[in-house]
Amino acid sequence: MKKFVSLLLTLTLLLGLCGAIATAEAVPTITILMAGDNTPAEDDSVLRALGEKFGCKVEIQVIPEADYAGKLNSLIASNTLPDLFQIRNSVTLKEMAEAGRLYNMAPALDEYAPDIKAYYGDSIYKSIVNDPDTGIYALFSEAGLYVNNLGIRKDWLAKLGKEIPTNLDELYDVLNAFTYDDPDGNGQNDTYGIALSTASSELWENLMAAFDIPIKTFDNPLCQLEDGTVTTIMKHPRFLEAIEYLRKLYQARLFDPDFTTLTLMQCFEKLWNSQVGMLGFRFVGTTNNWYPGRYTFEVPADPSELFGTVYLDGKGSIAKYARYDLANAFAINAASANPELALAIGNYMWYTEEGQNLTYLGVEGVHYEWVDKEAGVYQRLGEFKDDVVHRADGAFAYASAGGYTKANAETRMMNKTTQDAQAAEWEKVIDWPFIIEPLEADVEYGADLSMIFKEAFAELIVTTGDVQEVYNEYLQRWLDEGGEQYEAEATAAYAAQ
Amino acid sequence: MTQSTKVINQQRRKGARLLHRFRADWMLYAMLIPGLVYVILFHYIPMYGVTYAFREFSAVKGLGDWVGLSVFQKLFAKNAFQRAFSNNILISVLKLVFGFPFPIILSLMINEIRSSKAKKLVQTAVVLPNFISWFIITGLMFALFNVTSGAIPGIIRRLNPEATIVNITSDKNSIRALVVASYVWQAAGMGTVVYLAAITGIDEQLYEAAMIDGAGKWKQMWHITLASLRPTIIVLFIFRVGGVMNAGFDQIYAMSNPLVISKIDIIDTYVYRIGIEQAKFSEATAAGLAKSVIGLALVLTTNFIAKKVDPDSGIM
Repeated sequence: MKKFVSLLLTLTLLLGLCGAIATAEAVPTITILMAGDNTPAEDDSVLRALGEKFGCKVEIQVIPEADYAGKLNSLIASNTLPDLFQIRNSVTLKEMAEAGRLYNMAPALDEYAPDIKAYYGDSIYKSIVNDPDTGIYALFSEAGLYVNNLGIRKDWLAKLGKEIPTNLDELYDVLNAFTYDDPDGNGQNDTYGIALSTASSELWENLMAAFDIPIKTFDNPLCQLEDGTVTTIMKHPRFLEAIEYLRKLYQARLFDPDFTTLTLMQCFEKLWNSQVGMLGFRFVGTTNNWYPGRYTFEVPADPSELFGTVYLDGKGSIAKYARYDLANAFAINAASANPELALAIGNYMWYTEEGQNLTYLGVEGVHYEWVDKEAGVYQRLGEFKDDVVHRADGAFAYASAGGYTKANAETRMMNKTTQDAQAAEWEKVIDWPFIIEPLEADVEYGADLSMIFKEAFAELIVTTGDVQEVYNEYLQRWLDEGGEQYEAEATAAYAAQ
Repeated sequence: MTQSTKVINQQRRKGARLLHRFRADWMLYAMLIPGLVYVILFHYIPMYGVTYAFREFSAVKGLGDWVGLSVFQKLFAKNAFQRAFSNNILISVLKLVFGFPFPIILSLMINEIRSSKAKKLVQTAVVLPNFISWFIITGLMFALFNVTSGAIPGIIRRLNPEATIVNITSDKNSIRALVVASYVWQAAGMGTVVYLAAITGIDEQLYEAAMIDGAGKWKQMWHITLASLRPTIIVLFIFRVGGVMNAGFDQIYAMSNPLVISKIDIIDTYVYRIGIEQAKFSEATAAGLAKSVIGLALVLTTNFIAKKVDPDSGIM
């Protein structure tokens, strides 16, 4: 009897395995890896809809932005890359193309990706790895769309009898009032002027731009000096002036003194919960995607009644470096069993209006319905009115391929406040040196130099010691630990562009 | 019978005895298999990877030429590595000094609780933190010490509204103390499990005899409980010293922020940064290998000293 039961169990297991193999053979699986901070369910409605359309199973893994490089590096080293994946730095992109690990899309574009072909035209060869003679290996993003806006609560200003600040002194005055004059009227000292955190350089962009300093990232941010040298922003002539201003805000407690432990999400939450009166971030969040669902207090129907934009000394935030984000690309694994299918799915998801509607809004009739399709007006249905439920079922999370195309649903449906704020911001942005070619010094010293800058920036704001002394120490460390070589290479590379 | 035939017969008998023992206890040997598979699969096979420290390696292109010790030379010359190395030693030693005796003291205290219900409650309570992830613990600490809304600053403000409040999770001067204190809080309870089990095995008659001889609680604890625990303490100490270079990746990674990283960046977090985030696998392997070699040397030294002090102690 025991033998019989054992045999039966073994056979059942084997049959299950055969079934799994048979299923795997019958329906191909396309795996996609992308960066993003939403975590939809593994088997959600959008993935099922994509699978049904293409007769396959689609699996998309969304990795938090901060962990993406680590995840991709592990997959590259272990040779377990998905079919379609995002590459977010030019060093890896170039190395992979040279090593033959990326699929050449050129011969398949006509048949499987007509929208990609029509969209890019000859611009596709702007990528450092695409060439008419050798092939097309990467689909980069048109990123020149979103710039940061420094948003401010207009209702708080009105209550306190203040105007939108136009310079740094007025800003200090407003932040002080937002912090200490009970702008929310609850009788408690529970608000701060502005949300700042070292979790993201975006929060600081507009403030630093007021000093002409382009803090595009916390990872070794660069600027160009008057003599043409491209170097760390620590060497910018107004860097210490900016630091002194931030120190003044910090000492007066006009932003949360725990700014080094706050996450980006916690900063957003402070805005949503009416705990801060200003936030420097893309208005596509502040007045569009978060509006009104994320706010926990009563908000007017028109976001322009609640939020205004601040330009300090007439300056906005930072310009995107080029029309095309060349270092942020999608590529197909050369070892993929179904590269054409992966290409067709990428084409549909990010370059067609229908695919964008699916990935951004969800399944029509389930997640949303059109009110006026031509005008891009829609309404979400039932439980999917809740952003969290909507995104958990796959909507929104897969819509962006790292940047935005003309078919992009978000831009088609963006409200007027956001569109106007973005357009106005573009008029006032400051420039920064984006280097297209990968630098050897970045590979060798990039991680250490980034760490030095992050430490220096936070330490200079809070130090009770001599600021100049602390500054000199960090700058010397930056120069000694590869900065000099970095500066020389960056200057030469930028001049050659 | 010649000498060689005798040897062959002896060997055959030995083989037959082994086979007999194996047949008799095959189930016990079978239970070894998962453990062996685990050790071979996850500890011995990956050892091949240490060769990366002596070769060029690119995640994209794979293994390149042998480069001798140049990866180590480059790594050791870096200030960031030197800082991580010294932080590693300091934090490990602090954890050893404060973390190792604490479970022993805690075990002795728990052992003195007379009510069995209270004893079980305390045992469970002190072990529970071990099952909480460092990311949760760090989140709790951030919430507790947050200058604006934290409970601790709130209490301080109530007691003294003029007090200058510092968030110790982002203060260079207090972060190491916080790392060690939170480690002791998290790990001490689990550490008591082995000691309490060893205490249970101590013969009650020893205590009775000591009481007759007039020994008080303190002397009983010192001369019987602690003396009986000595071999266990030594073995656990050797294991602990062996792992002394493991300063706690999860904890440090979760607690790091730009203001305190200079004080708590350790080899493991450095390796993660350059290895996983920057894909410099050769340097990361070299750092890991250096850490392991130091750990091995420490184990051997501690074992040697333990043997000298007490020949019955030690692990080999």
